[in-house]
Amino acid sequence: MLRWLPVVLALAVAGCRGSEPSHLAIGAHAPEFSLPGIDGKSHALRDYADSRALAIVFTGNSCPVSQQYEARIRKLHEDYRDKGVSVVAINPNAPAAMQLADLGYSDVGETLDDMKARAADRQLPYPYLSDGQDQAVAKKFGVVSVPHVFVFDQARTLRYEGLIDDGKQGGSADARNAIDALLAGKAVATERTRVEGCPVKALPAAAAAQAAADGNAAVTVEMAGADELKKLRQNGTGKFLLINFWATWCAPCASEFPDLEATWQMYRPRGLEFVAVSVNDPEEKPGVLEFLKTHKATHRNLLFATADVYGLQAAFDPKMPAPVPFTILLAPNGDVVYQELGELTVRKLRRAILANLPDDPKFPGHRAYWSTEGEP
Amino acid sequence: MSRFFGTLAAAAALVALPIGTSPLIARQQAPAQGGGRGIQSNLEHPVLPIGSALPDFSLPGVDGKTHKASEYAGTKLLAIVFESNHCPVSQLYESRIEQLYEDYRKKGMGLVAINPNNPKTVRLDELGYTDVTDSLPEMKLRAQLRGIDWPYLYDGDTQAVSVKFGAVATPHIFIFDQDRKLRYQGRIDDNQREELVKTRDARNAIDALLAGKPVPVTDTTAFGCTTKWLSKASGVEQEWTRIQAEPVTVDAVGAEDLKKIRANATDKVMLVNLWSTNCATCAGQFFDLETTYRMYRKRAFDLITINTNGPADAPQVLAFLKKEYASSQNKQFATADRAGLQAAWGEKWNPAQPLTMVIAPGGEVLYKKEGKIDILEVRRSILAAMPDTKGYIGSKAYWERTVAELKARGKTKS
Repeated sequence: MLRWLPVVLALAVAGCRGSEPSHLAIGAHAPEFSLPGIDGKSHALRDYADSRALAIVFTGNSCPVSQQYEARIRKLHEDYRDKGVSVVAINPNAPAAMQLADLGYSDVGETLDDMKARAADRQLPYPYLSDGQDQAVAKKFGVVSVPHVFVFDQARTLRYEGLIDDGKQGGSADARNAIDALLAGKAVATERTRVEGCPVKALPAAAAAQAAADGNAAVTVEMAGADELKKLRQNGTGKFLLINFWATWCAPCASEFPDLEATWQMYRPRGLEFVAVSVNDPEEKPGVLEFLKTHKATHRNLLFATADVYGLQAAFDPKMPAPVPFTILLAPNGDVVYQELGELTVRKLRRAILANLPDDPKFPGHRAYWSTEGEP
Repeated sequence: MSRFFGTLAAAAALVALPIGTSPLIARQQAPAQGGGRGIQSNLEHPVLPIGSALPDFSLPGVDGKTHKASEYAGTKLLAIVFESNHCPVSQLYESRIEQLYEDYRKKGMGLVAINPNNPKTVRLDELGYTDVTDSLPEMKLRAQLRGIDWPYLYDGDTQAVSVKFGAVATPHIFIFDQDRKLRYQGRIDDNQREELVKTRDARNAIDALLAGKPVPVTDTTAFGCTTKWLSKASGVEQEWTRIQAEPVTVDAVGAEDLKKIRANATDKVMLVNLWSTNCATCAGQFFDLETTYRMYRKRAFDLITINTNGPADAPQVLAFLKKEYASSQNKQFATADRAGLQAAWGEKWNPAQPLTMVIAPGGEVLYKKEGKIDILEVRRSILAAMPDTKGYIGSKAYWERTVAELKARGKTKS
């Protein structure tokens, strides 16, 4: 199931039909808002009263199209800051409506903390506000997909809405053209463009998200001897394979386990495999099974078949470090592309997965985005 | 291909080592995420390579003195063992470390144990197999309890020594020859369960060195609990934030409920504390009980607190529990008939004092105390009762032995 199929919204047409939800019309006044920002402060429309023009960009963390636009929104902010233009980003996605499988292209979700993390990683200098609590502002704007920009003049009259640009090299920079026209006191040539991006994750989806999360697949554990572990190391799955070595008595293992579960749920629609290998003694199987059931661990689970921990670890890989937790990500050819000894930092793991999963033809440049840290 | 990468990693480790925590090491970490082909060895802090000189140290010990590397210059060999209080694997090796110390002391080997962990980086949920955490005062308690008479030093403040060694886990042993060159590093032997041990790698290395022969195997990996590096996020503060957000509730219990709790038909070891308000002893030890709950609750364990005041005092009971963030199972006497409910519980005690009991599945009383408790004694009786099959094979026996030895010692004293 491809959840981020780009939606093409013929908004101009939709706006003409009285029955369909319509977005803010050209000539309309800017809707009021007061939203929490990543800087810990509340931001309201009146805070930007002095700006000669105001660009409100609806965008989010998890949409791969939004990710591609982060650098361009920053550029917009930087280029027009000294000309008295403010750029304000608003995230309309409801964190409660997000399913893990919606996060297949992201390291974080859509909470304010997630937004802070993304802004820190990517050095986003513009105000980034969350409307995820009740999506009231997004509703006033009639926003149904991200990214989507609204440009207001000094009187806060809407003069342009739609794409930031058409995404093509040397193509049409629609938002910039509109801002330039406003600053020059000229008419805006193109007032609206058709938006393509990811649908806004709205609150009614929350119930469905819970239902999907409560799936009742069986939890099983297979005993793994030397041969099975040797095979596991070779990764015959044809996919990227995440392997976590853990034990019930290892608290850091237990602590990171829910993060690993969530990570698998996020990327399994994109083909990520996950195998959890317990290095517990076979006599400790009751505890292992109880733990896995508690965590609804429906992926493949292995348990060392004998008490010869060192022997079995060497069978998996002679270079494997002995303590737990130990986590590695194998490429389809068996190459180790990520490893972490001790409790892992889940976002580091997720970024490693995102930088390695095959590029999606629908979102060119996505893998490259994740292969860089911070500066694009 | 993987062999090529292994060599590269080893070379990088050699370059990085003498500089300690220089940026070189930091830079070396970078390829860990994504560049490599095979598994790279201990990237956070590389393990001291064979042939390296003994890193200098000067650390406080459980004997109250500072111990320096130079102090052991007179010994033929020197073994440095990284061990900790909280790690169940490390605990199972205590007696084997003692044997090493006893057997080779006469033959001229010095042995020094170093705890690399800082208690500030150890969460409560990491203390599921221990009575104490990894601080120096608590190392003293463990040393007393277990009769550890070898130097046991604390490196948790800076971990500078542990970084120099690249101590991967507890336990992890390093053996130096007379010239104080490293000749063996890794595991003590090949199985955490002593009865299954086939190869005693550390002894083999020591025997070879004493006989002037080459060490048969110089490098092994060390199974155990990963060193709690200060450089890594520990989650201690987040844990406390989570605990403070946990709901606190109280249910009323009548005579039948009390009989049921007392019979303990669950598969969990139950710590039960009967308490009242306006009881200083009760209030003074409540935090320790809740801490114990936070330590063991992921295991076959539960804490039930029972307030004996009666329903009229419900608001102040709840207020107290909330102040203590008591997310345990909390009960309160459903009627004002305190004597009747005490009888239903099956014990007689002064209700102005707390009554604390540890009850095994099936109802056997493992611990009972009216008045002030020794929380470590309570914890040990719990640790000695929780089943290994849902924990760690050998841990139960370790604590049973400890409790038995303590009892024997107590008898000798009196």
